[in-house]
Amino acid sequence: MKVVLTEGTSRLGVRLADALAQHHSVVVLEGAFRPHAGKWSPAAAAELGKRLHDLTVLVHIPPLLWESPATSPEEEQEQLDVGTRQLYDLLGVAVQQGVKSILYVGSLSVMDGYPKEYVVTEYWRPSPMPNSRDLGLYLGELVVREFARQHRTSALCLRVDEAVWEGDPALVDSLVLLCVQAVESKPGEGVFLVRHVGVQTLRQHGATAGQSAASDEVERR
Amino acid sequence: MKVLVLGAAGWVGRPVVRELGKYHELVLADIVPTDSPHPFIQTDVTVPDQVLRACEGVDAAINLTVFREETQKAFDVNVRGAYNVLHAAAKQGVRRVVHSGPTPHAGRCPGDYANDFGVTEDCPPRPGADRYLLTKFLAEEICRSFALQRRLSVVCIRLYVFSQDARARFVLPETVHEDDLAVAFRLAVEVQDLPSRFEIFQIYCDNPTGRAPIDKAKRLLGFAPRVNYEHVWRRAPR
Repeated sequence: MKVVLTEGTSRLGVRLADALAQHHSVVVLEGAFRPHAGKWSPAAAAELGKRLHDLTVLVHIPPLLWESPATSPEEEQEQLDVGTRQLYDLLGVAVQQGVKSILYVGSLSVMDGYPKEYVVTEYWRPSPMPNSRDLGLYLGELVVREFARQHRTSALCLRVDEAVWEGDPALVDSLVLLCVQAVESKPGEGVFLVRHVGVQTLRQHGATAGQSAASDEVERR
Repeated sequence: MKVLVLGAAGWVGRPVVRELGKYHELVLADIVPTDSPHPFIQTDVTVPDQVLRACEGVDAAINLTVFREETQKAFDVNVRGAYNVLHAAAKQGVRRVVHSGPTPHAGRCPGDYANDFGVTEDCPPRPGADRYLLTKFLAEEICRSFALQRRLSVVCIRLYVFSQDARARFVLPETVHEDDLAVAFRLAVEVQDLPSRFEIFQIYCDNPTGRAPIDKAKRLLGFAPRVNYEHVWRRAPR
């Protein structure tokens, strides 16, 4: 099947693209959904439509994952735009091209509003800090959820602990494996699932590869 | 109380200014000038510096800004604009922010509330991918984040259809007369003891259908609409 991957040259994207390419046709989008990418236009939509033609799965790695909270009003505006409007436009084209499922690689930072000593699960309501980066990542989840509901696609959101990006490379390998399984899984139409992916989860997953990526179902619409 | 009204020149802004002007000192802001006698600051809600300046020295801010027609601008005004208002309010020590938007229960998509009754503020929002409903729903979530983490008091007013001179364009239970709506905004600015720093109220006419109850607004805001559903129904064009 055809898989379209955003942020394909990021530290996760490169390895995920390689892993997916072993069994699927992979199209990597790089730079089209970053700050300064420019205003959306019918021409841009048509161009993107050609690249997304006949796709089955969209894997969206938000560029905000690699950014820090903004330090200037201009950066704040860009981060919010990247997290919401640019994703909305991307999903609009993906739906037109018949996307069947969406994988959104989000962040556990959407739970940062809770005290550190709390154990929060997928059943807890997100409580992002009011900065443009964390809000952008959280609002992006909601955009994906509502597209999945409206257009009867399936969507999985992996909220990844940010410690994964700074630690053991084996954790990223395990995350890649999890993402591949998610891409190849077949959840129902209009279903939006969330899974928290912490360091411990990835260590366990690395050791027991083969389990369903979408085992923690929290929201079925 | 000194109250900033952003989007003061709009359809909702005009009756809100009329109502609040009787009780409070107003500062009006909009991207286009108004013909009101109150002090006016030309403000583009998508420009953070302008919003910051407009929020200076006010006790409360009402955000009535909205854009529906085009995606980029809808996100700019409804999402980034809401962020700018809340950010500025937190920075300037504004005590209360009143946000406005359509009910996210109005979306027509799988899993919607089209055939449900007793749809209250507590029902999970299901706006679907409609750009207007979705962007305003995202703005509500920004409000929630600021209220919980920056200790702002934020009241969200959810409305759907409002009528002028008791003539509704649509006969829906979620209709409200503009004068009643304006009173609701005033009450949202004035109310002191709310259960939490983030509260949502749906503001409709009093209607017997039970589809979208306004009990919470009646109980906590003291909202008592003068124009009821029967009145709207009788005056609506056939």
